[in-house]
Amino acid sequence: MGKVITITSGKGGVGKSTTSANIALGLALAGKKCVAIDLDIGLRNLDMILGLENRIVYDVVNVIENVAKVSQALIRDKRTENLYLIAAAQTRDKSAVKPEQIVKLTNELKEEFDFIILDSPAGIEGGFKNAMIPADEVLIVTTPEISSIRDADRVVGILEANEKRNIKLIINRINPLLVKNGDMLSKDDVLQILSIPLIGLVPEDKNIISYTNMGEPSVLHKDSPSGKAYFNIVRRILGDNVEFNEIKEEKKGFLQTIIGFFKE
Amino acid sequence: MENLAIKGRNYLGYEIQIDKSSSNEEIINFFNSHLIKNIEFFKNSILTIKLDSQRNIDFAIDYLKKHNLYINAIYIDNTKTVNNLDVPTLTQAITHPNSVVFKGNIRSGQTLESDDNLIIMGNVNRDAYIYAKKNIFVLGSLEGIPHAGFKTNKEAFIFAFELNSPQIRIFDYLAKAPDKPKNTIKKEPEVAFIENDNIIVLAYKEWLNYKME
Repeated sequence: MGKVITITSGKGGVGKSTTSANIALGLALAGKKCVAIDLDIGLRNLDMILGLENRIVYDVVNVIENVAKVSQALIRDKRTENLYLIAAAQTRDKSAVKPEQIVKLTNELKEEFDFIILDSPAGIEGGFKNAMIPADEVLIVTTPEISSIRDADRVVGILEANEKRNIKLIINRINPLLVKNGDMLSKDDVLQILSIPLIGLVPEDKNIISYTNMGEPSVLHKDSPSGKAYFNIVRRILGDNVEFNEIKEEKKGFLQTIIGFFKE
Repeated sequence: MENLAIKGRNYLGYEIQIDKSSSNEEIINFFNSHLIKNIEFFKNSILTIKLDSQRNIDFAIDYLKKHNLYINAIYIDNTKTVNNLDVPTLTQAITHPNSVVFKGNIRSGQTLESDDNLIIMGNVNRDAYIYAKKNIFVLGSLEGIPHAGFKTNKEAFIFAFELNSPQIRIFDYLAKAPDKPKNTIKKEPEVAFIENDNIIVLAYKEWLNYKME
């Protein structure tokens, strides 16, 4: 029996889709059969981040409206046969589906898959409810800034009111230099406000933009700082006890400092 | 000394853990060596006792009282709470049958109302609203907006372990926090109340003395 993991945040642009893509692909690479469903209907992105946009024939709305069978809408990943994607419809909006329909779909997929990753849209309206209601576990993505934390707090409140107790936190885009100088909220500050268990710390990584444009999530680049962080999150989801490393500034060698100086 | 311990609790001051295996004598010795020796440190903090089984520890409470240390609550098995608050107003409020007691955090966007006193054992986060017709007690950090004496009571006050609200509302008075953030290193319980048509915020200890005068 599979498990539904919803990835949400409240605020937009904090990295929900990037996180969904990395966790889904990471779980697949770890040998788990996984399906990612993009519920950001009308503003789809997940297919792009996973590099699968050319392969979309049917989307989630087609499945729900019985235009296509689930098996027809499942897009297999080009790198691993463990990962499938159900894309969002770009020509419709969030009101095209209802939470009960997503619950029915995920219940069907649970038979076949180990993990079902739901990429939630931003906000707390219908689209968010579609993603929240079926969840067995919710991962909240936040950046260490006060506006994003405030929204995450609101979302946690709504989740708790809907009897969702299995909530975990990912702090994304931590900038080690800013934390060191005290200009950014630290991990402890964020945890004190939100008081939910932590499952991952992801550092700011300038490569993410190019990874997204190329359709290659960070977990494929095992040496990148964000790739390592996402890989650790995947291991924690699978039940491994992985220590949380403080995110530190990378030490540059003498030569690199000089090269950096000339680059600027 | 495994069977006796003092643990710091996030906002709830210090918790004295007493195992059933410890004798009365051991408890008194422990108090002498840990609490009374450091009385300056403990005297302004909120102390609670945690027991792992039912037992009579009145002697311990009396002993601490003699040394001006007051126990605020007793927890048995984590669940059963015996409130034995020596802080006068808080005792009355918590034991009052109409008081609304909420355990947990109030999050952004949530509201809680009470027709009497309102006691929150947890944090009230930013953009949460709490209303009470009488007093408000937040045993945690208060970042949201409290409204005490809502529509009815000018005598109402607001108590919080950490009072960081952007606005304080009592009866039909309103006070805004200073635009400069206050020094966050110093954390102490504070009380807001109305005096001569102004909302005043005082450290809890100062407020107690103020009330006595």
